[in-house]
Amino acid sequence: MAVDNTNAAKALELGLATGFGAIGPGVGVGFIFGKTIEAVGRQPELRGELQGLMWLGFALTEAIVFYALAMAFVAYSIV
Amino acid sequence: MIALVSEFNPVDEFTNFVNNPYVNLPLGLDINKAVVYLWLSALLAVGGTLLVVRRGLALRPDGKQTALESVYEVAEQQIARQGLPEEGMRIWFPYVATAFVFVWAMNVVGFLPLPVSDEHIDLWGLDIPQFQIYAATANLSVTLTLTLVTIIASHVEGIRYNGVIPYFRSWVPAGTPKPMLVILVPVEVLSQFVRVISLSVRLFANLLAGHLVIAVFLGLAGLVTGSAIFYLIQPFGLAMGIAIYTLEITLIAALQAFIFATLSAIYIGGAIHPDH
Repeated sequence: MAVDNTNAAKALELGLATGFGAIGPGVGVGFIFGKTIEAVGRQPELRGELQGLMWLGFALTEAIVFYALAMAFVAYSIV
Repeated sequence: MIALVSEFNPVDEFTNFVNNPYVNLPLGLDINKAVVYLWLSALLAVGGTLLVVRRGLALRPDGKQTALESVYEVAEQQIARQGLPEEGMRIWFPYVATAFVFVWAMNVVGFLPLPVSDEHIDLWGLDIPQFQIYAATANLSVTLTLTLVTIIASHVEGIRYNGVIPYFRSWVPAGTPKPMLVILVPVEVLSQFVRVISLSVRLFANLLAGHLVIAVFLGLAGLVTGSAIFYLIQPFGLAMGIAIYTLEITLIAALQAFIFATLSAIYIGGAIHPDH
């Protein structure tokens, strides 16, 4: 009996691509928050300024997951 | 109990409306769901502000005026002054602040369930449109247009303030050795194009992924099968859906608007004053 595995492969591709794409940004976001906490611990008076930079860095790093997700959807819909 | 249609594809929510718009107009200028959401967002952004300041600003501000003033202060201190030099503030602070408020309004409107869907549901004989969440910013055309305004503005301002040759020369650091230019020039030109992609896809994919995650978890909550294990999954799906919805509408909606406006300010400011 011939089994069509296309949908299974597509589902796997979507999960794997997004999951692997999330590893790096996950580490990066952790670094950003950790380093900000460290910096605020050293110089509490810079808290406001550092928080602005933190959110900027957070969003820039987090966006990489969504590039992976977008590419995964492209691959998902092409086949 | 309302049974779900068996073919549930969350992606359809974000693509189908292009093929069946509300009003067909020539040149592809159809009025579809994204356009309606754009109007609603503009109405919220302009109308909400006008409602507060319609009787002029009081010297002793009340609650609403204080909230509006804090939004203005964030737009000026945290967003515009991050990137724009003093001489660019007069023209580009209004643009950057408008982008912030407009994108924020689009994101927030995108998380309100509105009955603007073209799909209808039959509830006790009544034909009511489905309540759906959809954001204008979860549409690449909208975010790409906003991005192109920023990018074109940055190049125009760069040329206006520095002149054509000095502006394009400022893309590579001064004093670079000649052989290095072979590598550096393509990289810098490429990075200008990557800006277009990163600025637009970041906003678009953030909102799209946020809506999809909510749709998937709430879809789990509505899953009806014969298997008993799904009764364990349903409360989990509902709880996760509500948790992510709360995170998205409070934090992500404002944060992505903030990022978009800040990067716009940095790109425009960087073109006006290339050396820092």
